[in-house]
Amino acid sequence: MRYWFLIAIVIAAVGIAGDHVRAQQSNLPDIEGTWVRLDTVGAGSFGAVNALTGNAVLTPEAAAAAAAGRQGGGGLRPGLVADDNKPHAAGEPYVVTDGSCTLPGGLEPNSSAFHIIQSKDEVLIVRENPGLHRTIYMDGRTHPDLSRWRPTVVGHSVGRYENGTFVIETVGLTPGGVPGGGRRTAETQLTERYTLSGDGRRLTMTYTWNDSKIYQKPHTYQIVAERQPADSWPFEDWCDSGDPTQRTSVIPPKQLP
Amino acid sequence: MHQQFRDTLSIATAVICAIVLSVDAVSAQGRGGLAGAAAPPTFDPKDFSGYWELPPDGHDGRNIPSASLAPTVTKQKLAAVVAHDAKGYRWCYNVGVPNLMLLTRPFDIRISNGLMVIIPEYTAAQNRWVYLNRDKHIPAEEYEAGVNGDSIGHWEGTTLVVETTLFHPENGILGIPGGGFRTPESKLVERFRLLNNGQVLQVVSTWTDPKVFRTPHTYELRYSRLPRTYEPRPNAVCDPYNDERAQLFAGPPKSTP
Repeated sequence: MRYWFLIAIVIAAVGIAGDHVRAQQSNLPDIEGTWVRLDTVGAGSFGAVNALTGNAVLTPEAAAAAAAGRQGGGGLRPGLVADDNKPHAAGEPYVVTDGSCTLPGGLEPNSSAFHIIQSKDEVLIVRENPGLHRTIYMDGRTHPDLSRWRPTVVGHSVGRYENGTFVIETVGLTPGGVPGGGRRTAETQLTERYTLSGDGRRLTMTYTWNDSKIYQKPHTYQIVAERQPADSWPFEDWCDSGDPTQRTSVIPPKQLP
Repeated sequence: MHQQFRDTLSIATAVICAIVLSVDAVSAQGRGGLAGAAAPPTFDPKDFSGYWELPPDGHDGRNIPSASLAPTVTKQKLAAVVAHDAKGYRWCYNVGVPNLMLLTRPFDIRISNGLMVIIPEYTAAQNRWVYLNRDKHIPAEEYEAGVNGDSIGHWEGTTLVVETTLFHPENGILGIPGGGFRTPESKLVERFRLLNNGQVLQVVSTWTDPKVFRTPHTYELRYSRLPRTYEPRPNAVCDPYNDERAQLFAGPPKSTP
């Protein structure tokens, strides 16, 4: 019967460990909710914000490949059939979309709101408009063998909580561009650290890209988002591919002096 | 006597610790953390989180009787709805309620304190949000009606009762399984409940709309839970500009010699 005492001690120790885990869980950052990206530097547009984060230090090989547009990202995003950033003279018509209503989704938030849902096994990050959402696995699984993985715009992500910070590790992304002049391939590793402000109203997302073939040093930038009221709801983004006006050309009007 | 007391104390300690452990296991079903990774799956009748799919055999998992339509529903009106939906399928209209719930690709359900989200694996489908943190619908004058309408849910025991209304009059696919169609005045009540030790999700849907149904129209769907290790495949793509796909909708195939 004296073994009962030993068993009791072992079980009690496990119970205390469970308490420790529970205490850690109680310190989990409450990042669930609706968020909207902020222009914290007064750039005037999110494209300009991306440009202002231009601190990527590429390897000579990556810089050459980027210049040649060979590494992906040099083309237009799906749906665009002409470069809408190119200046057009007044009266010069140009088409900006192919009429498709499908959006690709992606890693960083765009100008739409995004929603974070924290559940036991997964954290979901869902943009308000259509497009592939992000699934961050929280159950301890590892990344897949990339040789058997078809790259996607959101890649494969696993996450964990570290002292109140939500940490995401991602690989398996489609080749392309990265804000701040960076590049990426399926092998490039992205680490994101989501940190809440003290009042819980702002979320600072720090992105760090690592790939010795592309970067001379890790490429890092931050995006800040603001929490929306708890009673807010997402807008549906309706689009009709069968509507001919979806493919209407844009004709810049003449500007008055 | 001393030995008996020590044995009794040991047994009591073990029992108390076992209770503590079981409480830990239950609390581990809460938000986030890695604690759930090592714990064996347990059946929480309120935890719908997971991946679900309808049986691939269209005769299984679906009990959809014919609707009893109101006398005001004319053949012309039904034909117009069929034509509208045919155009919608052809041009990849965003699918929402109710056809979102009949997709044969799996969808991801995550449930937290404030909401339940349903994420389909289909580019032409809207993510669905069910709010558990309010008991009233958004005022119609404040809401931009959509293909999913506004869904609010509450618990009745272990059944989640979801009420949806404020549908868009035109957007999306309008037809309702079993007959009839949705209108802005339609109201849908769905009762979500777990069966078979949590391996089956039963959803009983009841539509009411005096302009469409003579009596409330009820049907049932049963979804199978996918393994916890399931990872969503890249979204099924609906490309409205795929010419070969368009031929599918152009009419029956012509026989070739």
